[in-house]
Amino acid sequence: MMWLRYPLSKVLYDIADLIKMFIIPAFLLFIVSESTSLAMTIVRYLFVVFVVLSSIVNLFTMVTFRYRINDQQIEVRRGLFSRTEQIVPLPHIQNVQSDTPFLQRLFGLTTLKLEMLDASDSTITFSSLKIAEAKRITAIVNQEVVSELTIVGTEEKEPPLIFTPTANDLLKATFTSFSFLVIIPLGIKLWNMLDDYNVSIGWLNKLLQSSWFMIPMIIGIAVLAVGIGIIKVFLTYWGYTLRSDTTTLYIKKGVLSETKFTITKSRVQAVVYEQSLLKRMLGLVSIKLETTGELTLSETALNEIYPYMPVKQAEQIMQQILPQFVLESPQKKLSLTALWSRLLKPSYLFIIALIVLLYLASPYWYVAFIWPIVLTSYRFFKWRNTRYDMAQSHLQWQQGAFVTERRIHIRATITEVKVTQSAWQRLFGVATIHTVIQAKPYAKHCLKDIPIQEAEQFVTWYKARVNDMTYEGDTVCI
Amino acid sequence: MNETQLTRTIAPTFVNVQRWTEGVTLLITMTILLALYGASLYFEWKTWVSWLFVILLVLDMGMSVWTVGIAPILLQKYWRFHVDETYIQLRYGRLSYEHVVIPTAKIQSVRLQQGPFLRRYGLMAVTIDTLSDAHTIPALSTEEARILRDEIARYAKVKEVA
Repeated sequence: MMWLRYPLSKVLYDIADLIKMFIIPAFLLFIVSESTSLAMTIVRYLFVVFVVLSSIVNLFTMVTFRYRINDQQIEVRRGLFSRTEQIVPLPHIQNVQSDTPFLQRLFGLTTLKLEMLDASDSTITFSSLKIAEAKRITAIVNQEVVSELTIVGTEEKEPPLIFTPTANDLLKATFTSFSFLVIIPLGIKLWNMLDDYNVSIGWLNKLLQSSWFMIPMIIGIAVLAVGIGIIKVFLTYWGYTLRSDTTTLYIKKGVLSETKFTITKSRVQAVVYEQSLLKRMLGLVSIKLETTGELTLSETALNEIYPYMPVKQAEQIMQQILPQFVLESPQKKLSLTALWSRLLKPSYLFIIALIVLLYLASPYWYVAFIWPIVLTSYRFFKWRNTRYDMAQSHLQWQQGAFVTERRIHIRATITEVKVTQSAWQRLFGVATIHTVIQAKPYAKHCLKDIPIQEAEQFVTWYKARVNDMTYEGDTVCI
Repeated sequence: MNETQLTRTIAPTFVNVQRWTEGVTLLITMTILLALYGASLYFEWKTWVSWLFVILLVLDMGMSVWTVGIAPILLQKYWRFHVDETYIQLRYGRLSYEHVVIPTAKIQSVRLQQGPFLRRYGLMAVTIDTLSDAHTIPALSTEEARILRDEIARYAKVKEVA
């Protein structure tokens, strides 16, 4: 088996990347700035040293990085001073992701990430591979996963398409980015207020007072905002596809920078539906999956399947891809006692703010009362939006004041639970339930202020988890 | 209530261990505060600083009625746990309580620990490590702790398949 290296075109790409990264600082340092002060000179020298070092690092990576792959394992060697040799059996690889930023695409390169099961040092990253080579590695790795099931000889056959957005869907999605248009009416209101108080800001005042200037400007800003919103959404989600077979989800997105990733279904620990106020109004929902292992590549959280899914379609799609996580929306609401316990709970921030204000600026003591008003409405909405349910082997709840989050757990994937009751909750006969699920390494969630009897039932419900499992062991058999 | 199901208690002498631990902590903080008070007099710091130390000292002594006198008794009295093939359950606290349920298959390791005070009373603490936390049963007789550790370790070997 032959050792392979990065392709030579990586050198060109690295140079282009360096230029992209440093062209603006270089322009500012050497052309715009004419200062010859000592500090500036030092910064310039440091900059040159930094660029040179970066190039050397790139070169060394190019020279030292080697890998080889066969149908059993992948082996990677890298590092100059501290060498790393890594051997990973292919079945240990859980996820394959590829990310192609626009610049890389120009050179026919892509970034490939192989994610493994265990927690430590669990990702192999190929920072620049030829696209064909990345495909070859992906195929070898996936074959290993697929071949366990059946179907040999169905190469290059894409799994069935589950969802791809239409232009209409995307146009609707762009509305969610319009929220900042609110600044226009707010701006006008503020302006009128300033006008009433005869506050003038020189040239701005003159400009803004003439309506022939104001109106086109507002229209201009609105068009710009809409345009940017549309371009942004289309560049990310035009041509987005979600495919699925029995074991895996395949997701592809991005027009200029392409991202591809897969999620192994058996790794999904929980499903989360998230809705902001605006999405709720537009009937859209964001679907997220919580999996063991963190799926992050180029700053985007990849566990988000699709952020602008029409609500009706969402359920249908989940039925197709992860039927074990499909449930009716939760019905149970929090009790009135729970509302009281939350509203009456003292806010230390308020007490401290009041004392500080009384001490420092006593005429304005009433300002401190803005906080309880905000807090009370926040607490009220949070209480009102909460729903929960414990059905057979599912646990689900919805929470959140403005952005609501509905999360669905299945009992088998919950690794630990806890019920707690604080002295304050004891007064109102409510308690908090806690869950732990496996992530990287774990995630904790809780639902506050459900009646104590139901919290106790929650323990009983969880203990029935034995029924969901089969056990393999040396000493104990159930 | 689930309390009825959890019957095993921790060693009664844990009250003494806890008192020793809290007592020593109290002694250390009092020594530090006294030293600070002395320094404030010797170096003639502002009077309110000296007063602050005196107030803290008095508060500390007052709190000790709770931390040394009462809390250890309550802590021991309301500590319950239960271990079987499938679950470990811990429940503790009265005014505020926690009830933890851990499937034995999800246990990562079991440890025994013994500090000087536990040793004096022939006790050991059993710590159960899971994915997210370390849960400690604070005091069992050495023999009981060893048996429990082996028992849990045996249960933890079981693998579960969803």
